[in-house]
Amino acid sequence: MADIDVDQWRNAQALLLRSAKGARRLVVIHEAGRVLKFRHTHGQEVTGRVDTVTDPHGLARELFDANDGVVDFVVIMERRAVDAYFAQVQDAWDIDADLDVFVQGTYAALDAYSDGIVTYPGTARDTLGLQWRIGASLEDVNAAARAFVAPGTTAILGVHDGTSLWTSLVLDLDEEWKVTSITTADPSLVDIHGSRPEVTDRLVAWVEGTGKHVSLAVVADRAAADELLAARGPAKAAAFRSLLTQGQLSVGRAPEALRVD
Amino acid sequence: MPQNSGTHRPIAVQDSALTLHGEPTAMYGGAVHYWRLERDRWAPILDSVRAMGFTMISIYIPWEVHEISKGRFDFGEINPSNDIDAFLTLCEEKGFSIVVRPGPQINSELTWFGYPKRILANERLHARSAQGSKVILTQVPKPIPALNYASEEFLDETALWFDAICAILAKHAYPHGGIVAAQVDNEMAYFFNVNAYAADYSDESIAGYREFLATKHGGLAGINAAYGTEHADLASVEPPRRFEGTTYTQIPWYADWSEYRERYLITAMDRLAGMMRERGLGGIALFHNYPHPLGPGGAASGFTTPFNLMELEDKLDFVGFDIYARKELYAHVKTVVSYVVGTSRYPYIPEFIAGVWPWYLNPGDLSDEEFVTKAALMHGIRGFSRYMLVERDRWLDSPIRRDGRERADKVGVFGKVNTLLDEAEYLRFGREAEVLLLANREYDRLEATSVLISFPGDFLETPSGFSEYAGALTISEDALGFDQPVQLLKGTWFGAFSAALAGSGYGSVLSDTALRPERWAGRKVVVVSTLDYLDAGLQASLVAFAEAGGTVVMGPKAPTLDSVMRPCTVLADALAGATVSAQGARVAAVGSGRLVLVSELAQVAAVLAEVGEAAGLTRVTVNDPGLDVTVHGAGDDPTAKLVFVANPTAVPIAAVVEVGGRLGAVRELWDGRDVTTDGTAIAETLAPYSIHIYRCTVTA
Repeated sequence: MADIDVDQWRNAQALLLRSAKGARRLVVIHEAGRVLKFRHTHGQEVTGRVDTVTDPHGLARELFDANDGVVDFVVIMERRAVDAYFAQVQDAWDIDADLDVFVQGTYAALDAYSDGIVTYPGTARDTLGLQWRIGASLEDVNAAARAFVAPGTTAILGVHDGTSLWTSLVLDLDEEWKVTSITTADPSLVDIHGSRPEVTDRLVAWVEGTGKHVSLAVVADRAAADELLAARGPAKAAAFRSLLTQGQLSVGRAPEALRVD
Repeated sequence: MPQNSGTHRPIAVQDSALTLHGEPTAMYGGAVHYWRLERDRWAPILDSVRAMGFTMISIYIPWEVHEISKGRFDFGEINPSNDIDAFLTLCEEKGFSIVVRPGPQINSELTWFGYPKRILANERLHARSAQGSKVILTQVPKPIPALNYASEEFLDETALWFDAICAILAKHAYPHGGIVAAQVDNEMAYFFNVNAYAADYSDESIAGYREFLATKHGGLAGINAAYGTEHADLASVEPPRRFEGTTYTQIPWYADWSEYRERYLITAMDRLAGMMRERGLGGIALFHNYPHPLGPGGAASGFTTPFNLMELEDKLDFVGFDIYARKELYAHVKTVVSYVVGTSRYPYIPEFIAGVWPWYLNPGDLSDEEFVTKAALMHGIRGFSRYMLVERDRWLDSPIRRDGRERADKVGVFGKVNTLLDEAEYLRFGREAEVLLLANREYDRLEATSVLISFPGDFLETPSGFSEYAGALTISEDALGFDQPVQLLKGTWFGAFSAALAGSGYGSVLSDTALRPERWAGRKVVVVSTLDYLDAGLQASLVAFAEAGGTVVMGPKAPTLDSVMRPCTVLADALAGATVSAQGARVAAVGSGRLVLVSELAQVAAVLAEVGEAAGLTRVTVNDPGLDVTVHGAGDDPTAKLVFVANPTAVPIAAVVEVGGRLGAVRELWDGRDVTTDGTAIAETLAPYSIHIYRCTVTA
């Protein structure tokens, strides 16, 4: 992670990530059913206070419905379950494991505490912490990388806003499609102003001027990026083709499978 | 003990300054990572740093990078960029003073946080949670286990590193070379696992806990008396592992665990500092940087337990907090700086915003850096080290790129700050603050241990989703037999006092009840939250402060118990003859001063105004409550003032500021403008998130 343009980085975060930390949550902490905490994260008034928890899933749904517009989600935590969860995920640490593996494990482990750590709407695994806003699973992303990016090459993904590049990611992948370098377009070295096709071509030339080979370069308009990220499953591929056909994406490099004649 | 006074060291801390042979030195510096730079870049990059007006270089020295195998090190023989000796020499040749930070922990966004991998792989060196699990910090690029700093084996391993690196550093230690200070470890906070039940429950730590209790309470009998227990031997005394309190008589047991966690960090740093002194660094200043409390968020008590700046300064020369924040977090910056200024003998910020840590969500930009810099100066910091001056892997947007090219806008602002500090004679001035607001560490300790869930420290927003710091969202609401829960109420009252002081126009700084009463000297008013219980010695000290002519503002209660829940009515007795003031406070004349008890939140602001007027405090008046003002005075010239006016809001404010005297010449220093006044007020419009710095002549 070097030579990253902070404005593009900030925009990439806003586009791709959702943090639960800033969400308005109704927090219920209980111990074996006895409620010890019933509080809104932002101190707002909430309705439906209870003293006991018997059905955490039903209660979470009821509280969310009762506080419509005041909370983004409800979280109900049983003390001992949370302690056990954190002990489990920390003891799963392996010094040689990749960060991604460890972090994915922290989310996957929530499934084993589905009655002790409850959220609504959505499961704890898909709600808590930092979530991707890309409308795809990790498996989907890996499959797409293997399908559309040649191993040992560079992928450029960008979003254009009006007359300049709004955000970009320049990702180097090794022979196993593992990301080895993350950066952005460097505005001090490549002109990011102009039309989307012009900027896309410049980005490819700039990266390849450093001796790298770009096998995928896709730059979308802001609206197109939002539409593409929001689409899920097969609809994502359809959205890509539609946007490409409509000229809302610029493709500087792409495999045959992504081309539209 | 730090050799900061009464010794023959050429380096000392005096009058809030680091002095070399008695002369104050300006510590305006920044971080450069030699091992991350091509060696031929060193000189031009240092030249760029010098051209910005920096006079000091702060240098992390990574054990992780230098160790080849246990006890074998590369200091340039293999990788030329690892030649720390040569880099120190180059810094000296270019006229920099030097601060070194050899760890053992340095973080520095390194894969293993600065340690060799073999250290983290050694399970005998791991800290343990209350559950007995490992204690993992989720950080990039590798999660790492918190280490057990009570382990002799860990300290023995560290000794091997210190043997090697200190031999080099000692050659460059002032007065032989440019090194004036060395940092002991880095951001020590159980690897950010500040939650009371997160760490450290290792065998060595538990042994240290029992030793601490025996010392504090005078042996097993004293422990049993304090806890109402009947332990047959010390080995049967166990620390709390979760909060299950039901009565206030249990508070001492919980609070002692919080206090021990402070002591654990202090003891570890004392040991490491001793090891550094033994290896030739006894003649320079040793210091530490506690982490920025609550990250860039800030909270009411994040600067106290498990941190104890006052007691750590018994072991080191000075201690600061790091500061990284967006401009919207002005209150956080003000709190942290005000606390360091009110507590440390040398208010130095060891890591001070410059560039961006890539994993912060919504990272800031130059406008944040400019505003936060001015805010920190406004509230009284005396020195700082920019982190980072030179960009590199895993750090963004520094003034100097890793290839040596400069970011002109950033270089301009950073250089302008340094120029302003020199031209304004900033160090000649000091914060004028007649009021001292004390956070109540006793209550903060209870709050810390009354947390219901032990959320681990986390750099990356894993599923925990909650702060690792205790707060209203996660602590018990049990009143423990009192009429209201102290652990909740204390935050409400601290917040009320803090807000009322901010709006009062009286100059105030912040500390906590660990600050020794002799350090209250010079303040006219001490403000502290008091509830059902309070340490007997502290109660007596508050009365003594009033007897000596000061004013103590307390509330909402006069305590009836001491810290081990025995009857103690020192303050209540002193208030026995109190009368009710016009604003509803109970006021008692004590010696030549006063005790003032305010019992209702709604009365706090009015009572503080009443107290200030009665005490004859200097008052600044503003026309808009959104504004904040500080005044810095020059001891050698009562008419010379630096006046900082801040607009920490998102809208412009047409400000009218009266500083309590007749205005003569007024010059805004950042823009270099002479300001015309009517002789009583400065009237200027402040843009959103802006701070004006005025050099004024003020006469009574």
